[in-house]
Amino acid sequence: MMRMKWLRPLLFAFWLILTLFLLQRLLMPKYIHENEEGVLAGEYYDDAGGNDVLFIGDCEVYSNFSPITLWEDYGITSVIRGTPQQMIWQSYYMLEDTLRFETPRAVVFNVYAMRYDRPQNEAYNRLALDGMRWSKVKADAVRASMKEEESFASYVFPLLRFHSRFSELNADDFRYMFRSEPLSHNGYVMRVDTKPVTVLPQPVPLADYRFSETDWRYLDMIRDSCRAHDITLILIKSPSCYPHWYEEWDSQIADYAEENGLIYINFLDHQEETGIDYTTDTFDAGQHLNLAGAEKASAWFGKILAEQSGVSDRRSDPAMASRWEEKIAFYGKMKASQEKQLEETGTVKSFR
Amino acid sequence: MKRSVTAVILMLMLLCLAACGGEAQKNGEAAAEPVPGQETAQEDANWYFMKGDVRIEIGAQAEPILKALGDPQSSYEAPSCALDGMDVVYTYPGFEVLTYVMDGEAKISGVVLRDDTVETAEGVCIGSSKADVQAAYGSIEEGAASLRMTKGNCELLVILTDDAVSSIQYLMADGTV
Repeated sequence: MMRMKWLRPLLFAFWLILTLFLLQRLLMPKYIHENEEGVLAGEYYDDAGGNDVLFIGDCEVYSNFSPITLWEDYGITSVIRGTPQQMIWQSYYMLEDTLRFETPRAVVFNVYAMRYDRPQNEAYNRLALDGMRWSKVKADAVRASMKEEESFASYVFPLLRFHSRFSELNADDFRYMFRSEPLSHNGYVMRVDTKPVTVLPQPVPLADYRFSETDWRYLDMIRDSCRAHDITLILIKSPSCYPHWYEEWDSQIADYAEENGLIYINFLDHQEETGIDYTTDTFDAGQHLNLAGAEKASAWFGKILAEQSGVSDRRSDPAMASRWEEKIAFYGKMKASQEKQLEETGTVKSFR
Repeated sequence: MKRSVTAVILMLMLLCLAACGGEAQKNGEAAAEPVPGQETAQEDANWYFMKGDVRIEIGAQAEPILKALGDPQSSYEAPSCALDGMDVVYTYPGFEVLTYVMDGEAKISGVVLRDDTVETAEGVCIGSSKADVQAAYGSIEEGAASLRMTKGNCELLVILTDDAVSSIQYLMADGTV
């Protein structure tokens, strides 16, 4: 009888926790048919291990580089840990999180994030952080990323943040409570359609072109972490016409790279060599590359990676080759699906 | 009996969660909605730019403003990296209007003055002298090449080059871009 008295509260607590867990799974956004890039942070864990190159940064990395091309042309294994408007502190923690699972030979960081000196948008924080697995790294990433009005508890218990979705639930929320649909190709988000650059807004003058102390501190942290793990750090300004990349920003990064013995490649200076044509190789008027553009950028950059970062051709490794064959098949399937949509409707409505 | 109590407690929790969510949404909407009829009361609450009779203010609904301004010379749509909606830059003679989408509605996120055919409501334009700026907005720190002034949800940024105004921008005051 006494034993039953202890058991009941325990069972109640278990049932309560289970209920809250299920509610949380139900109410969290699924990112299947809207804001699809929300799955990217979590998809990495399916691709973790055996990657010689890690890309970190914002949409300019996950839209503009194709790990499949790097594999097919050079036998380079790579993964992109990009999320929309990824802040530099998030890039640093993406690197640290990756180092929990694997140690790449080269890290490629897109420096556009240097323009932001403070968290910009809670929604983007969610896209970068909610998908990360819990560890001290994630806890630190959350603390570094939160805006004033955000709470750490809401990242530990996302139910606190998303309970208002109760009235917006749809079929996806039930269907994808415990699973997701793959979106990316080792972090690359494919788009086959084209929207050419016709006009670009004039750059808006800035009052101060200097990057902030916070940005430099995190760039130093990325540099130091790479050094500590004997990783070649490569800084890039990814190919993109808009938003504007100022010369004053470029020279600061070039100076930093020179002072620290790093490679810095501004793709905007290599348009001819890469062959990127902004009338055919972008899906949104110059902000991001489409598949044709991403493959051109990757084909050109792969040579630099192969020659200057110490990564080797791994196509002769049967296990690795077999693993990448599967990825190539998924890549081809998505490409065919998008091309079919484009042919039938004139637009790409769904990634998959 | 105890099962019923437990079920009731859980139902109440669910209702609280749902209600709480609804309340949060309402609060969000209330904060984002413009308040019709308060334009005059808000006249001094924010910096604003006037183009003829059209008053352009950060955070205002874009649709009536764009309609009143007429066709732009050009526009550039910049889809948000992942979130719904487009950021758009509309170019008019002498100035640009920037919009973003919040809760499905386009709002003004910035105004950039490009030449001396337009001026701020306080009479400063591109090419105005440092003295003109000081007369309109107060003193500028010695050696400073720009003046930032926040009023309401708008930051007015005036950039000086060689003691003359080279850029005037109305931006969101919270520093988001």
